Amino acid sequence: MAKPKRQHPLAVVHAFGSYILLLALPLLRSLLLLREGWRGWLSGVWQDGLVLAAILVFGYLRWRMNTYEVLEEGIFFRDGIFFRRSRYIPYYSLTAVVLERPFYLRPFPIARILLETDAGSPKDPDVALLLRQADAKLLMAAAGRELPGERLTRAYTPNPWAAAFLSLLTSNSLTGVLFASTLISQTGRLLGKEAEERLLDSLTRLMQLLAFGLPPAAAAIALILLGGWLLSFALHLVNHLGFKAERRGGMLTVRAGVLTLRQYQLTVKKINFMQLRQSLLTRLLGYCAVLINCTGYGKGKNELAVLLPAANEQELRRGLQMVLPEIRPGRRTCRCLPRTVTRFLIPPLTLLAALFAAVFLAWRQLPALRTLVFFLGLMGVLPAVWWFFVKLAAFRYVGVELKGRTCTFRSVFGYAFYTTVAPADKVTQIELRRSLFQKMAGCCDMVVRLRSEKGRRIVVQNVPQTAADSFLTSWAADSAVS
Amino acid sequence: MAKKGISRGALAVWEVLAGAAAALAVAAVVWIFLPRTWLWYSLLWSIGLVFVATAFGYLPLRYINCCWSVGNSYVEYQTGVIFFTRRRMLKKAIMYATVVRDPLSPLLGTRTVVLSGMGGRMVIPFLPLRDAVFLMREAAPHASRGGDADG
Repeated sequence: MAKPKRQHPLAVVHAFGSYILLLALPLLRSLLLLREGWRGWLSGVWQDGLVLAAILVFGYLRWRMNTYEVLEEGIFFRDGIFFRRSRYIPYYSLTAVVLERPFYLRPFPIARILLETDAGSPKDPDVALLLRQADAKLLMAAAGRELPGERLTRAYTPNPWAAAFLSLLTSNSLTGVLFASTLISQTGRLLGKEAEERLLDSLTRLMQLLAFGLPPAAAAIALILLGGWLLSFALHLVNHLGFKAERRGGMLTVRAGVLTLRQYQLTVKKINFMQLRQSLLTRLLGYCAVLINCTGYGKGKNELAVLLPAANEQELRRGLQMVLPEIRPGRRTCRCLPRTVTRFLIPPLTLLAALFAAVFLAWRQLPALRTLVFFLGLMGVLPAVWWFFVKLAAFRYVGVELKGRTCTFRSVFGYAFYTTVAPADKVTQIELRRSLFQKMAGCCDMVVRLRSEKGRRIVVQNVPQTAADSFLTSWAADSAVS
Repeated sequence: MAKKGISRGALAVWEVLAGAAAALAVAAVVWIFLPRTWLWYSLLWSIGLVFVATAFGYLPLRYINCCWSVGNSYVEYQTGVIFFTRRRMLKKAIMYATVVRDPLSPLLGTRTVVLSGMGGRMVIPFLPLRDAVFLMREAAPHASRGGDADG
């Protein structure tokens, strides 16, 4: 019988975080007594001391009462001070075990371990422990030992530029802009208003330097978008540098990260689906990024559930053969009916017409702002033209296939092309949706809901009705057999 | 298994709701607009036309199109008139089934069945009580043996 173990004592500091709200009491007291002078405030310092002592004691008790036991077939946890909670997680329920080593913990032999199952919150891990590195590795080994399969290790290490390619493909300006605004506001909060103002002044000066003859508002918009995108790119790059995937038996191990080293141990049969992601440009170049959906993998902020960061057709075949031969995308056999091409092209053409009309009107009505109108019009038309080409390519891309027990769905959302491959029994629900116009064109939309913690939904547009019907029949029949 | 429809009570409820919505719209027009103007007449006529089309065309068609069936491995539910949808969910993917009883349910003798799976759910409204119990047992046999579907 294993002995109950505790987390690393540093977890006490982590536990303080749960009681940090109690600090509001001394703060409130100080604010109330500020007018009465420091003597009045000093007379009640013992009360603040009591609050601090309570935080320390509760932090310690929380650490003390939180234990775990690594048993033969699972892990047993106990936690809580006043409300004791006992939990048993069998190894076969684990979908992922994550070992994290942030840069600030690296000088110490400490690691953070996260356990994930298909149950629990979609945002937070089911169990998070701060352990000695040796204990963390023991726990990981115990979680992985039950998985069947050959014991030979096959490793896939992508080209060094693959992480940059993935970041290029997945970065968006909004993430970066949100990150930057949080950074600026937090700087103000931590270093004072003056520091925040100085930072904003420097940014404004940089903007003036970089705006070569553009209207100031247009230059500001362009620079905010570009800066946000660059920041998002850097965040993704830092998280995915040093990527390596290893397959051993029924277990897939992924290592990535520079500032925070992460090691994910995934149970292969718990992988819900695989997704190949492309933009129009990477599609033309023949490259794609391969992501997987497995509860617990890629759950953190700015993390992606990557399997192969960048691969052309040959690398994709080789990489999948090495690390995930169970899930292979099928060839495109179902093609869109020629008469449905208009269903793809009408939305971007309508948008383009509306944009041209709006720019023309603004040009005539606002003669003083023509440079800005021209710039904003150009900025608006370019993505719309790009979308037109994406939709044109989508006509030759979308489709559904069922080969053996594997379903392949090719869909387009926004500017991205997705090939989603899932075992038939991981597809939870299929819905065929048809408007009157689609009925006339002999096609329908297929809405697929996949087994996933966050409830993933894919819409394959304008699938030929006959192909969709036969897919639905074979899918249900195949699932009954399996 | 052959396709089965939903309770006739559903049609009655929808018709009553459509009537209530039309009555509200008429009251709003009468209250807001100047009486016996061209706008007043055209709005009242429009409401009347929409109500007749809905009550005697759209809703009966919707009722006819609403049907469900249980296969060996799946549950299917189809609905819709202008946007026709056919939804199929694997029995294997169903984690639990819920039978919902709303204030009108005892009056109509119906229940709403919600089939929940990881990644999606299927709602089948206005099922006669016996069908709801049958569907619950068929769809999630491991979870609902002996359930009385009382919500």
